[in-house]
Amino acid sequence: MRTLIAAFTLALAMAPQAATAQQAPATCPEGRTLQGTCVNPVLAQAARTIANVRGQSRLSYFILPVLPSQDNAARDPTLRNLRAFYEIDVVHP
Amino acid sequence: MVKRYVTALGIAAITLPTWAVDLAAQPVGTAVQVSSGWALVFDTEARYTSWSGPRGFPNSYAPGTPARGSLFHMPMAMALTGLVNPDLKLELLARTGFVEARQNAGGGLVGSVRTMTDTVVSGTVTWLGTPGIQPFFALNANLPTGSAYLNGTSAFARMDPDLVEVPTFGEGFNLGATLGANVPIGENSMATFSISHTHRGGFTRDPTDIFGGPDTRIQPGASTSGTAQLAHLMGALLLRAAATYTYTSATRIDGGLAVIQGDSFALTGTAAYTWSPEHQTTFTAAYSHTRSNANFILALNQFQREAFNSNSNALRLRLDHSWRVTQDWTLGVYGTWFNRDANAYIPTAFQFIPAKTKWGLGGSARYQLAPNAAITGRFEHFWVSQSSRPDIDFGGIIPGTAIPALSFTGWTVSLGGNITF
Repeated sequence: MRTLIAAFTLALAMAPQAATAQQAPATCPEGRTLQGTCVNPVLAQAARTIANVRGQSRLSYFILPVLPSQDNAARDPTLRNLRAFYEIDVVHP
Repeated sequence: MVKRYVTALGIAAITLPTWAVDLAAQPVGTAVQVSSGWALVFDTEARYTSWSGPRGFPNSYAPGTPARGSLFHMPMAMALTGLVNPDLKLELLARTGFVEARQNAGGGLVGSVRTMTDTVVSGTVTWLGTPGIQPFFALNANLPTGSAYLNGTSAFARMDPDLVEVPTFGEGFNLGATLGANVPIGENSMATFSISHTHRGGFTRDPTDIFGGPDTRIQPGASTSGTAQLAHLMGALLLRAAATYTYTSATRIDGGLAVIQGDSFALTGTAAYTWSPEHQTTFTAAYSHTRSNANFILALNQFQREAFNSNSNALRLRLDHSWRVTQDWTLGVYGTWFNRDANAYIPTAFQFIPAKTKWGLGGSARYQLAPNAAITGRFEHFWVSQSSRPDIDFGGIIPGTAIPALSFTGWTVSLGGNITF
């Protein structure tokens, strides 16, 4: 009897997770959360892009590894100005 | 000249995309690619900027007054995104462009350049097979297809990066890698941690000194950084914050150790609110602080931290609002404010970057040509107020090197688009 009660309690505890897993779609474009639901693709893609752009801000003086239409969102003058001057500025004549 | 620009704008108009993953939030009306199939995107934009002011650049050249300049820039890129298998995502991107810049100021400060820009190629793989964590690895390269070396007066085409988006036209071969992971916390929150390292190759450029010396060989220092992010979606409100710490190694000039740029700390925050399916407002703030540099002192044969921090703090605020007028049309307005709080001194070039405030106001219109193609036009007007600077003091004042307060105005217009296959 005790074993049956324990099994019933365990089944009740796991029921919500099983239900969630059943509801999750077969394919998630950005993977799954620990609960088995799909990761929000907007959050995931933007986070990767930010990591790439900000982490490698010195890859290029002005070209970002994003599409040109994303420049307005990705470009940050606080990261590039002085660096660009530092190594490539010219003083003439 | 005008005819060439019109042609370029026309090409841009018929070849456009919309696949953008906005770093702040998805603009109203922008579709998100969630298909497990492959998507090929071609994206380009033609941008033209014109500015005028009381002095040319560099501002220390007193006879260079009055001044005006222009920049035509046409970046273009292709991106391929898809799932190699259900657990592995691949994102590839290649981007290059064309630029034409000209400055026309008094005293002979006149120059122009027309060249390809450098080319950036990027590849990112993301492992999707482990619930609760999605690690990714990105490898990027800057290919030196531009022009780092500018002959004669064409060097005068280098302009203030606060006035034009392309302040220089080439550098060396750079290679960067980022290793990170997205850690979803439920469906609506995400933490992301990443580390990056960028190796920067050497390049030869025209002389950087004020005495007409020989060509200069620059060997920029490598940089290593760590970034932490947190994003949270709370109903109609998206909040996002990111912090980046960057360490840079020594830069060599003509083979000799020159300087270690101070470590920098950058913060950015975004709040985006979707009022209705048609209206969305986004506010972004970005701040950076750089510690003092260490200059190589030949007599001591060692680096020495500068006595005062010659780097300045920079802050930018931006407010955007987009309005989806119809199924096909989306209009946008935005305002930006940028401030550099103190004069920054660049020892290798005997150059000061002055304290500055820049305002910008702009608008955009986007038209969805087809489910897989859109065009976007933008217009912006900007105003720059630059602080005065006293005479340079290198243990003794150099008369005549002071720069008065200056004001610049300018505008930028662009037309771009993308198409997805």
